Amino acid sequence: MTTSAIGGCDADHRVLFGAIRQWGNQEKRGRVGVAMGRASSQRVRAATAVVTATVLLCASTPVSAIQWLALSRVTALAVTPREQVTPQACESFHGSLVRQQVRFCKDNPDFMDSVKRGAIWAIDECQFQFRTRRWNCSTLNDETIKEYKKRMKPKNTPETVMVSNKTERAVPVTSPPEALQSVKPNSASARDASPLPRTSARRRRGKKRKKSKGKRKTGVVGLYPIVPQGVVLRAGTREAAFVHAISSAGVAHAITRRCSSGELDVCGCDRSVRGVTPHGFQWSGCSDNIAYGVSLSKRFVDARDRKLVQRNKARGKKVSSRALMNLHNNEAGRKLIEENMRVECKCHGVSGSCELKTCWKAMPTFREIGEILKEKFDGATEVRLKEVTGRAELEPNKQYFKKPTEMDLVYVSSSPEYCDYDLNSGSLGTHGRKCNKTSRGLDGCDLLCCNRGYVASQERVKERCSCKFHWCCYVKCRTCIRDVTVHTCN
Amino acid sequence: MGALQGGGGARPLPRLLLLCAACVGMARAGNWMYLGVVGVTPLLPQGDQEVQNVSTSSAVSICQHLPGLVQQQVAVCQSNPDTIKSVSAGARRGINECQYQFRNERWNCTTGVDLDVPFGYTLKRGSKETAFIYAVTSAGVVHAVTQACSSGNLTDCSCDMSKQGLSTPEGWKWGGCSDNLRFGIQFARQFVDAPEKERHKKFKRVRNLMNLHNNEAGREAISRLMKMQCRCHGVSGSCELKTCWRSIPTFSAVGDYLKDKYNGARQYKRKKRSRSSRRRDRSRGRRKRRSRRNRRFPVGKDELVHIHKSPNYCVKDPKKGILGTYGRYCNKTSRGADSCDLLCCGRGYNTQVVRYVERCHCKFVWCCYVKCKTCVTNVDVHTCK
Repeated sequence: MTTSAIGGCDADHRVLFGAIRQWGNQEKRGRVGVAMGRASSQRVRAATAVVTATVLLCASTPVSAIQWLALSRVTALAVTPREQVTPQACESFHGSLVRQQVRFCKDNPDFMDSVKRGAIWAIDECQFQFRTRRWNCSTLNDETIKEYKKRMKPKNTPETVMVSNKTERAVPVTSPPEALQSVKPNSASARDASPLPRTSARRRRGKKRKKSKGKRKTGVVGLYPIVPQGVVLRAGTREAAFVHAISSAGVAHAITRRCSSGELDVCGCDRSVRGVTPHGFQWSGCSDNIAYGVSLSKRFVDARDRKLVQRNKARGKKVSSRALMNLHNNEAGRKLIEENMRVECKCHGVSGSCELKTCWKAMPTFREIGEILKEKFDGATEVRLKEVTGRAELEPNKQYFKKPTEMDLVYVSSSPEYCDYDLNSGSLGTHGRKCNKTSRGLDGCDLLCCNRGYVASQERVKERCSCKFHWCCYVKCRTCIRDVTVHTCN
Repeated sequence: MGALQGGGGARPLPRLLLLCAACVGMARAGNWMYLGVVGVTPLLPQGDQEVQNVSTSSAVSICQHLPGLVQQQVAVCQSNPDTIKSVSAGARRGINECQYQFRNERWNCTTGVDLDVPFGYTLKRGSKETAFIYAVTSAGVVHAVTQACSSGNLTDCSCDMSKQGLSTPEGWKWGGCSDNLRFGIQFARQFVDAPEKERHKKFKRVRNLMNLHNNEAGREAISRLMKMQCRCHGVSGSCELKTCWRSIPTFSAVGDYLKDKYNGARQYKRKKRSRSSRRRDRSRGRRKRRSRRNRRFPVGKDELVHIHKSPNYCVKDPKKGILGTYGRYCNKTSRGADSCDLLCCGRGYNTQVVRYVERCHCKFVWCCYVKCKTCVTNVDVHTCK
């Protein structure tokens, strides 16, 4: 469950394309010679496969809609901003953001760091809430990709390892030049006749795809939580609903916090909370300006799905249920903050006699939001699309189930089991996960390991212990070493 | 008389035969627990005055026609024909208690679809749940038979008179009707243990040993929970005279006790022995001693023992007879076993709004009727996905 620096997928891309270009050069040379060798044709095929695989992993299914969460790993956005985000920087996020979001970035450069912070909070909270579940909100990072590579590696001859399908995608990351050199002699020696037009066509197609993809994916990609797709492709699952809600809530929360901190010129405390309360106290202090945060979050987070809905409506097409679902869940996350606003007070007067009390409206902590959302996740409603006189709506799958309120999560497709590794459906499997032997809940070894069994091993834990305070002023601790039995899923 | 008898005896027979035909295929030999689900009443001849006084000859035929009983059980039934009703009541008591104790758990002690083979699949396994079923049904039989003895429903037994007239260390004298636990236990030992003993003789399996042990644990639970009850006599309860007797516990207390034992049930793992050590044993002639030792589990008499791990009761698995927790009611606010989180195994829950229409704020109006209002309450009900 680690997250790593930005660029796992992106770096793959660039290096990869470099590699393909070089292979292309070789081929030219080959054609000047006699004929295309089988090896080189294989390579071209591999190259196309590589591109498709990369595209599959980076651009498409498991993760499509929440790509802006990748901002959480962008180093250009400092969490404590010293300088403003430049329009160029905004442009560079094009891979992860849609046009409207880039425009938002240019319009509100001050808030981009809050968006980033919101994304970080959202991912952290998601991982915290789901730490004991089979789906644990892992993000797509270098490790996952490495794992993917390891699993897809075929176990036959060495040359196929070098020049074959999806495994190749990640090989260039480690050592692209070597990979190429080792292929070279092979291609030179083996020169059987091979259908030349077909290969060249393949190559062209591959190049074309590369070009188009390369153009589109210039910015940050990857490193957002792997959200499962569900059985039906592109249909949203319960988990997707949660991630949408928590991330939109995260952005609203972070922006509001930042407004309340008073560092910005554009926004501040909520001035609308004024006057005298029914209890005779006067509102004062800095109330969190949640309305502002919510409106900005709506603009940024909803951009992609709103655009999709509008475009489909304009073209007279059927509105995608996934987009509607995302919009609903985004709204639910934000509404939850608004509904759970509370009054915080501070007493003044002689030794807190509360002669004078300052009260203001404050947001709940983000942990509370996460907890409430987790409950909503458990009670999420499965919905389907229903068209009522030209308006598309979501309604419960079964008539007799309760209609979801604005603050309930909805989803369209049931989730996979998450037991086995299948990145395409968004499941990383539970192999190697730590489990709790005595628990009967989801983190218990029986449920977490999907009845595959588990192994116990001893782990040495270093702890600081018997700490003592010394005058003045430091704490001295000893290091204790303890052996702990750890259970890991098979 | 002969004609009458013939009429009375002939009528139930086709019914019995029909039932037997249905059972023979499915009822595994020795699964007497179906008596708790089906009951004996449909099997026993009813109606006519003549048949009500069950004569020995008809009792013999009834006992022989009860499906699924082994030889010894038939013999026990024939020697005490009245007790068979108590056996049925006891099994039902056990099953009801089991379902009450497990109402909030993933495995909720369902008897299964097939009424003639209750717990069919669960009994095949040797898990904790199997252990509980055996213990609770055997305890149920003891309980029902003992109660029947005390209330005078059985001819073969009555109150426990062994202590009658003896004085207690405190100077009181035993009196009243003490529950005759000894008879109950002995009867249960003969009836309930019979199929397992027979099979153990044949196959020498640990499984049968486990069942025997758990049967005994159920009986042991009752005898450990026996309590003394007294009643005071004399002027306004002055306790000048006190009658005391030993009585069996309520069955829910037995259920609680056994559930506690279920939670701490021990898994018995047979040690794998290498071939060489086996040979060494044989050469030293230890074999006989070991087999005698093997007849018992190295745990207390009142502990439940199982040999297999419990399966995952979350997902439906018809092959293993697991119903899964889909559609079960769960408690959203609870943190225990009936919470939606634990019961639904993380699949989440559906919410339904159930409308209750009740009469409320009832008032008596002179004279003479009651006027009520109708109250409508909407309650959210959660069921597992």
